[in-house]
Amino acid sequence: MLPPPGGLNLNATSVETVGDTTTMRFTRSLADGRFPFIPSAAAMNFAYGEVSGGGTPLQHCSTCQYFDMETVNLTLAAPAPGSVPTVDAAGAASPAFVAPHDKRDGWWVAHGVLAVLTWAFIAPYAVTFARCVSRDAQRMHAAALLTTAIRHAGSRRSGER
Amino acid sequence: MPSLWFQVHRALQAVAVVLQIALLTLTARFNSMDSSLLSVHGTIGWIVTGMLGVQFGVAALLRPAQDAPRRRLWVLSHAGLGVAVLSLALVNVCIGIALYHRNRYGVSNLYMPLSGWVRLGTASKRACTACPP
Repeated sequence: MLPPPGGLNLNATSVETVGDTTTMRFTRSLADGRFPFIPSAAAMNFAYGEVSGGGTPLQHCSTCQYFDMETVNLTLAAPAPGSVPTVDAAGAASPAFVAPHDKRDGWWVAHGVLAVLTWAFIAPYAVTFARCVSRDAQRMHAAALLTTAIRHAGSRRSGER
Repeated sequence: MPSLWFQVHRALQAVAVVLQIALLTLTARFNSMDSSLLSVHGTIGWIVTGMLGVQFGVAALLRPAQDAPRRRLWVLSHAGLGVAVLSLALVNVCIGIALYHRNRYGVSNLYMPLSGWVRLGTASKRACTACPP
């Protein structure tokens, strides 16, 4: 899910400042499904907004660490005194943003691989066997496959192409 | 002893049912998301699973004998439902691929997986010389 064209304002659920860096966590926003994915090539600006509203100093994210689907830590430079950290995913370029692969990507990929295996290969073959292939054609097909496999194995062993 | 094609057909369908159950259990790992396309994907997935259950369970149990009067009706309904569930599932696979691309790369392109499927289908049809016209 990309940020909407008008921008997406999220309030950090926890903010920690250690030395020169501030870490903001957005656990609830992500767990609620408002921001389920942060793409690796996300174009986002991260900024601090002033409480008083006057003279908002924009400050780009220096490094962003992407831990899992529910927590994103954004490490920013130290905020201006009295400011409240927010993130503004407004769609502008932010070359500093680096998001490693999501842990749950593996589950998505496994789901997809199983679906493709089931519905693009196994089920069509099941239908083909029921509808298209006569007994003689099956025997011929099996013989052709076996012959091809033997010839292929033989040519690889002898170094032919 | 059932003929070879029937045994292969039955075995492949059994594998498909097992894999469908496995890929459904994987969805428990996903967060609920607010995408309408994702809810369409999930709904179609459940419909496909239900149809597959009917196809594999009820249709197989109700299979009449070769010379039974209801045999032709059963063959037509079993084949029709089979093609319907396969088509629906393949469309859903395409929606899933498009969803993954949109969420991962910010690109939503349904045409890409659909065109790949059409190309695969055309090639399979050409390869299947024993198909009736």
